[in-house]
Amino acid sequence: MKHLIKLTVNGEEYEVAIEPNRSLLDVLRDDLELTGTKKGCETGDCGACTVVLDGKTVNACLILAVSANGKSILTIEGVAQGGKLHPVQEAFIEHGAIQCGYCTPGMILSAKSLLEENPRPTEWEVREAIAGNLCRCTGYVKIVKAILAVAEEMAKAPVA
Amino acid sequence: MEPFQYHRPGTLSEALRLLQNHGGEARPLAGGQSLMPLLAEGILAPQVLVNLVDIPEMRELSWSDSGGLSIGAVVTQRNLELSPLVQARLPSLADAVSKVASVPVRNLGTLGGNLCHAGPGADPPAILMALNSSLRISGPTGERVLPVEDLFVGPYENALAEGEVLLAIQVPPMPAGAKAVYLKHSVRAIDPAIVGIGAMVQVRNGLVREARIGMVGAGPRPVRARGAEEALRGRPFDEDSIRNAAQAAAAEAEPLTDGYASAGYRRKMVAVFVRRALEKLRVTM
Ligand SMILES: Cc1cc2nc3c(=O)[nH]c(=O)nc-3n(C[C@H](O)[C@H](O)[C@H](O)COP(=O)(O)OP(=O)(O)OC[C@H]3O[C@@H](n4cnc5c(N)ncnc54)[C@H](O)[C@@H]3O)c2cc1C
Ligand code: FES
Ligand code: FES
Repeated sequence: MKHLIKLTVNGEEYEVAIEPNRSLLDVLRDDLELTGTKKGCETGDCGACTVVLDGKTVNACLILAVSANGKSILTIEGVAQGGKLHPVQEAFIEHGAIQCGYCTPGMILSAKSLLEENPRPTEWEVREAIAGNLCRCTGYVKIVKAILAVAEEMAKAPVA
Repeated sequence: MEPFQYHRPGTLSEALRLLQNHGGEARPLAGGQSLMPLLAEGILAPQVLVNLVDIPEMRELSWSDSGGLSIGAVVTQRNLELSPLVQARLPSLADAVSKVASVPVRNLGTLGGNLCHAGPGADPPAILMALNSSLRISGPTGERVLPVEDLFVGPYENALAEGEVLLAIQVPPMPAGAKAVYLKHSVRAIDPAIVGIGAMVQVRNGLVREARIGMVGAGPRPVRARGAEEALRGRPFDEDSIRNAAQAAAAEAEPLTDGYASAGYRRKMVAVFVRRALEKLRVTM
């Protein structure tokens, strides 16, 4: 039996009729055609599917879309505002941390959430915050540098 | 994922009725962090899922000076880790749940779901055993209470009967002057524990009065290190008794070999981590 659910994604309201055996990840990608959220493992190990659900990062592959009924979701498509990249996105470009399209959306959302909760993280705290986001190729050094650089910038001139 | 019916009851009685009506075909769902991969891979294919996350009794997190901390089964591991109440009263528990997987997994994954999943490398069982916790279980015939160590029957197998749910986890206040700690040994933060040791020690008049040690990764299910506890009780809390306790723990461990570590390595690490945990407690006393 299909369930009619409401999702607010990147500020826009959607109503979709779905079978309960669909992950939020599949509904975002296949029904809403928001393919910025990636599918890597479907077992919670890689974080390529990270989205922000009611203010908290979750793996979209590990939550049923029906369980997200009524919730507000931020995906990578909603991070830039009015055509302006978020400071985390800018820093990833500047520090060469945007190494591939697969892990980056999840890395950005985890980094953004960390900095909102803890604007002055230590390097260790940055590493813990992205522990659920797997880079399967290049490494974490530039990613960690980029996130720490944003924190430093924010300390100098707080951004809204 | 095979098709299933999805229910999201708002009360405990409704959830119990749904689980009972569908017998073995129904399964509780909490945060889904362990269940979703099993559904996605077709390892489990229940016909009915009963989402427990709206049940008020299961959402409570409260403290009483007599009973200690009561943790509703669907309280998330992230909320426990960040709770000022838990950090103040039972810091070793807040620290232990912060060692589970990653922030996204802890944001949805519940303590009750973690325990019911009974994964062999799960972190919380070790510290909950050390802290002498018990479980409130609710089923068609009423409520019962179970010491936490009795929940674990084997890998991925718990002692709940059909139609029963875990309602809450009860952690008593720390005995006067006691200290507790959890140490996890894993390669990556997101991996299950190769070995995880929870320890609680109370010293009175220079002698160990109470010692409780919980181990994960030391066998097919989480267990108390009763021999190690015995090696400490009634003795001075010093290098000798700690060395004896670590040896006893390694001797009583029945570790398994899996993709993360061999049985032999695990046995050695049981001794190392029991010793480190106890030394960590000793320097703070
Ligand atoms: C990538 C990854 C890494 C992980 N790493 C770790 C780790 O390092 N350490 C660790 O400890 N765990 C780890 N886990 C396991 C995970 O954290 C927990 O097992 C998980 O949070 C379970 O909680 P849940 O609420 O999501 O349970 P669910 O997945 O919803 O349920 C798990 C099982 O318990 C049953 N159940 C749930 N709640 C109840 C209840 N109240 N009464 C009766 N039955 C119930 C369900 O039917 C199901 O069988 C990891 C998981 C993932 C995906
Ligand atoms: S696809 Fe969700 S964690 Fe890998
Ligand atoms: S997986 Fe994206 S940079 Fe390694």
